[in-house]
Amino acid sequence: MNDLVEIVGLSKAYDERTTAINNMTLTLPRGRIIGLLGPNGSGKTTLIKMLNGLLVPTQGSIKINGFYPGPETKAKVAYLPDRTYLNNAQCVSELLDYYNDFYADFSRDRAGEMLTGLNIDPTSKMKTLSKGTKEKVQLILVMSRSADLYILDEPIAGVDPAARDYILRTIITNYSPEATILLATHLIGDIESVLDEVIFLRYGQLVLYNSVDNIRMQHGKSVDAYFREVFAC
Amino acid sequence: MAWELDADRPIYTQLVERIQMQIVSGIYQPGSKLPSVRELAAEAAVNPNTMQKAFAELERCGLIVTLRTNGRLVTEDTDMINEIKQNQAKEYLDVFIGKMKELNYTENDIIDLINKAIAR
Amino acid sequence: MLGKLVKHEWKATYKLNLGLIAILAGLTILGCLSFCTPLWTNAFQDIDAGFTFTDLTGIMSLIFYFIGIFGVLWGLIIYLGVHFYRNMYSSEGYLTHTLPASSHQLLISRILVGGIWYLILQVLIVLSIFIVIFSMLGIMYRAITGEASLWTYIMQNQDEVMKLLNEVFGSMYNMDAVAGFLYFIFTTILGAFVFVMTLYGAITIGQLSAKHKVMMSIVSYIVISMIKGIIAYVVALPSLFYVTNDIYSGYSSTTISLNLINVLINLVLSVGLYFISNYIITRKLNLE
Repeated sequence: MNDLVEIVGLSKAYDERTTAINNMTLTLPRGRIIGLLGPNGSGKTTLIKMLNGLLVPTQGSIKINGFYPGPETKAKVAYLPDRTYLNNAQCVSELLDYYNDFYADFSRDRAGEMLTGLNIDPTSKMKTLSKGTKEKVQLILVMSRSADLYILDEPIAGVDPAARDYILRTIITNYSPEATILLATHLIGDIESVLDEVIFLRYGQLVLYNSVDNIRMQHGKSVDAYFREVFAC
Repeated sequence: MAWELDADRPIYTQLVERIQMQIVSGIYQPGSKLPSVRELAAEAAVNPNTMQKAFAELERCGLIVTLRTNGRLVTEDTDMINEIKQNQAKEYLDVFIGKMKELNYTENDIIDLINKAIAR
Repeated sequence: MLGKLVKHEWKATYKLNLGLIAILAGLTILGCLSFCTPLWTNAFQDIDAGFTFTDLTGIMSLIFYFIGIFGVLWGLIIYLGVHFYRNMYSSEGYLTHTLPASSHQLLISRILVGGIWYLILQVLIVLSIFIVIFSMLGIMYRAITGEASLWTYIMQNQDEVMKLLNEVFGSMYNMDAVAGFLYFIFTTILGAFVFVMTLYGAITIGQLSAKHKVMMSIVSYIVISMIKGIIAYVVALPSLFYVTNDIYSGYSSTTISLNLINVLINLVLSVGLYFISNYIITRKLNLE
């Protein structure tokens, strides 16, 4: 089984002085839940944008399922940005129709179940929903797809603890050995036990790519604690 | 709902301990069917691969048996279960007795205290 | 995929655009009514009865009609621009650009729907003006001849009306009236899409600036318009040396080829702008 994501010599420089990603080489296998960790400015957002085809590398390459980022990869990548990106004027069921129309792997039934589970009325307009509820809707839309790569940018940051549990449980139960979830977050402690592996980024470079249990065994502390050690200010 | 796990020890070893405890204490009876990896991972709020690893470890030492038709059963080998139970009890006792001796109790005192504690 | 994009773009824009059309309909009625004041019937009969308050309201509503027309047209242009910007380059861009569609499909779907709305509105505005003029002519006819309906007159004299139309379209481009009519339709349709492409292209070029996107868009729109103007002027220059003595010849044959050259230049520039936009989207996109 070939790897899902192949990153080779990847660099992104916005101009002469700002290099966001510096010569990164990394391979991500299928069937994993991987944490993307790093302080602000470490290149997480830039890497995520490049994986989604929203930004073009200055050097090197990214391949997902053997394809360079483009319509073929976008059909297989489900992205949850860390902002509200849906049209406020639409109502939830219109958004379900939209996703259903454009993504062959979208399951309207699964989305409907999750909306019911979180007591969200599908006829409500997005602009009437609270920020937390909007984020839940966005997450539901993404998790109702059967993608190969899920990229979740801060999925639990703006939600209450109960919803947080629900989201983590959804991620666990949606797990598939064919797919990989890349989870970028600052709240390491909350999600550590859900992760297989973690990636540490600093100044656009790969500092670490290892499994959670290995880190715990090698350093005798949680990934959260180890992160604080590595990135101490 | 999530299982309480220590942050500084590998997760999978803790999962092995926890499930072993559940088997040994009879929560999962010998020969009974265990929940699927995914169900248990969701309940414990841990990564399914890690849970899978824990199951594999328990299988390796014979506490769990995997049927070809997609099921995991607790072993029927009650001798093995009892042996593990006794080993665990011995561990607890060693720790307890060690601590009581640190408090300078004699062996007879220790037996008295145990009897009184049980009678409560 | 292109079909789906067009469908959703249409769904997103039709409500507001139908609203604009409804406003236009209301304005048209207002425009027609503004001729119903005694001022006009008296003027057509050469009666001087002075200026009443009703006349004032009539004139005001006529002025309001013209302002309203401008407002509706500009309303559409601004709406199309804002919608394109929001959909492609603001937070919604995160959804738009991660759809399994190529940049060409994204662009074409928006140009297509925007162009169609612009065309529809242009046609309806012209229709509205014709209706208002017709109502004025109707009142003039009634005032002068005492006959009730201009419409019956037209129906009875269809040949003369057709001859008039033939003259108009024939002299516009100095070609056969039917060909002239078709050419007129063609340039109008093309013009709508050229305009929309220019609008969207300018907004896209504005994306190149990191901090002043809106300013950059406006500047590039002005620059593009200036380029078109300069090229059109340069192309027209040689023909200024051909002065025609016959002032009744209407448009000379140089004018039609001028017009055609202008159309071609616009077409070429629009295509160029399209490919520049596509390049920016595929290689220079950086959403906030």
